[in-house]
Amino acid sequence: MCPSRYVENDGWQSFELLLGLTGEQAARVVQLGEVVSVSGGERFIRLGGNADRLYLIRTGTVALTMPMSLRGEEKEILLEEKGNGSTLGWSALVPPHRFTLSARAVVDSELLVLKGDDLRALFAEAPDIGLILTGTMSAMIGRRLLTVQTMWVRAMQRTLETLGQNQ
Amino acid sequence: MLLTLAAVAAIIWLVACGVFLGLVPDAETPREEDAVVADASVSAQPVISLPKEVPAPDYGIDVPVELLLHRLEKHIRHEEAAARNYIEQPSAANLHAPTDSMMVN
Repeated sequence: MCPSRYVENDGWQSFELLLGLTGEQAARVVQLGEVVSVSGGERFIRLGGNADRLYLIRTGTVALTMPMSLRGEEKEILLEEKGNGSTLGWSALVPPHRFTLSARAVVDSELLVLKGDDLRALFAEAPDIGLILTGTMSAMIGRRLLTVQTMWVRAMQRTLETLGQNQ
Repeated sequence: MLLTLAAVAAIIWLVACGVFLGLVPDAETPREEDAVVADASVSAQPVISLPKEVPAPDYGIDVPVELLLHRLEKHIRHEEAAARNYIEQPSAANLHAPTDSMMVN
């Protein structure tokens, strides 16, 4: 993973996290970050790792994975793919600041990387930005929770049907 | 009077002993009723039917792990798409709408 340059201020519109902000507010957030290039196949977030950075995908695709045992072999199983404009690494802003997934670039990708400490300092200085960003992030987390909850209910339904067939 | 009381007490004691000895089963010699019950339990079906063991999903014994992994990822994509569809239009039908996943069909 190699840092390249700061993102230009007019590139913020593609980031879902910044959509509720004015151009001026978004520029303050974007200026905190640096653009980092990640090669396809490179894992840049490890499950259980210290979550001190938030990642916004500028270009490319990133796979979020969790380990699963397949015939005795531990494999990283895809849970979700994220594309341009998506946000990764909410844990940077949510205690206990540990990553709960791993992330791997599917193709060569560019990420805007924001340090959690820098964001918290900005929120303290400009609470209006903090309020909007945390609201947007809550909506994203809530949506993810609903998706996982729905997937879980579907899986449970199938388990019940399988049990019923075997009784 | 005293003699009558003693006789009554003796009779009560004898009755109590008889009842006690009759109710306590002999641990060493099985009673006839027990043998009948034991025989019946051998042939009778269990009252509670326990769930049979759920068979392991048939992914195909010869399927390579990489192909299995690919199928699993495809399944997760299908399930996620179905979940998102449900969130867009919540209904019981959409919640359990089937997908083309090979892992469940």
